[in-house]
Amino acid sequence: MTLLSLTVFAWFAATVVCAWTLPRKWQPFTIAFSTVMFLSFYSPLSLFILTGTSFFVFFLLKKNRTNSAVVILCIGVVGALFAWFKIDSLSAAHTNGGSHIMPLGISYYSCRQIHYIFETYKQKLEGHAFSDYLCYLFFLPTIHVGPIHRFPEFLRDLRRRRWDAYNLSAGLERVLYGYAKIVILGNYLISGKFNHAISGFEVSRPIVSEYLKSVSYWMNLYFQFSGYSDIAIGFSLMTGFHVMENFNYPFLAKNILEFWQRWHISLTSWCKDYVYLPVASLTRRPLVSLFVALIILGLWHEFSGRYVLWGIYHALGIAVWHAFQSFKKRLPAWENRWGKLSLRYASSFLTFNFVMGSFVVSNHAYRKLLAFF
Amino acid sequence: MYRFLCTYLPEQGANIMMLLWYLLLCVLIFVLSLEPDAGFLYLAL
Repeated sequence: MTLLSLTVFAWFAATVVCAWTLPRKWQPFTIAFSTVMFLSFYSPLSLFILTGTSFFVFFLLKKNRTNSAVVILCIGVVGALFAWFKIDSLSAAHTNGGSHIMPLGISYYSCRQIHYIFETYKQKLEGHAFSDYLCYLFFLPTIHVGPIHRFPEFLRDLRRRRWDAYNLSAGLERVLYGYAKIVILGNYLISGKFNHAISGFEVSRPIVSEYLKSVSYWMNLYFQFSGYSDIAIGFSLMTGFHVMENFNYPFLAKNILEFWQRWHISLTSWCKDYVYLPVASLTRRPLVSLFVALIILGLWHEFSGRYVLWGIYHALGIAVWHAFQSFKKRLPAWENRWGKLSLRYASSFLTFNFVMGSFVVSNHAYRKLLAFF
Repeated sequence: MYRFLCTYLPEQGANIMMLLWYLLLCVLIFVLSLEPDAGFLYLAL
């Protein structure tokens, strides 16, 4: 199943129509009901897990809001289910040659539930009903590929939601640009034309060919992922909800830290709030929490050794960048305008290649390490 | 993009250009989606 199919598009469009035309008190539930139908059709297992964990988390937290043991239990159950399916799908991929049995959207709604648990424990959430919480978790536009939006903003939109033709047109434009990114830029230009063009280098210049293949993979990943995020954000806007941005021109980042502030923003900010800060407050060692956060970020993508290596690689990059900042203060400032400009482009180029290198490290270097040991 | 067009064209002209732009995108998306390799290549999340 892909968001590109006409069936899914029609489903989303029908949800938008129902979300505005039905009586007002039913409108939020229409979106949730549509999600239930969508999941029961495409991934019943996911529906079962989401429903079960939603009831479990809400009613357990309702009476034990500040009980840390209950909070740990809730996070443990949600996290364990997520980890189990991740490991199971990976082992299935190894044994069946790539047949994944991943419940649809589990990576995203697990993060949303953990966010909800943390915020409830910190008592930072406004009073709300179980139906508000269900509407948040069963929100159709973001169920498939995120972004991992937050409950307070969702609740605000749920209560203030009013018909606005501007939102509808802005959302529709966003959806169109999302599809254009995926189909025209990602699939046609990068996967099709660019890959075809670089295939001629394979024999004559193998190193150049490998480098360009990595560029192609990386650019395609960006267009696909940000395109899907655009579709999700656009559809959310069309139903009257403002969902957080997920990408902000990551290739323009001047350093690795800035890159992580521009790439998959919803996941990075989630990792900062619910992994980095708690670990930092427990250990009082920012470097340790940095490594833990980036390894968790890697494991979120795939529960494997190569993504642990991927996390360590990025954490090392950020640690080196921080160390360089204190050294940079002692260097003379660059006054020349052209010097500044070229430094800015060189930094972006270096960051781009560093990030691209992480995929090379996680794919090729990990295999070599395994063979070595 | 609309703001950019409005700096060089009258409002009506900018509106028509925007409509044509959207139409072009729709046609391109429809035609190129017919290719078999259209799909989400990211990890199974």
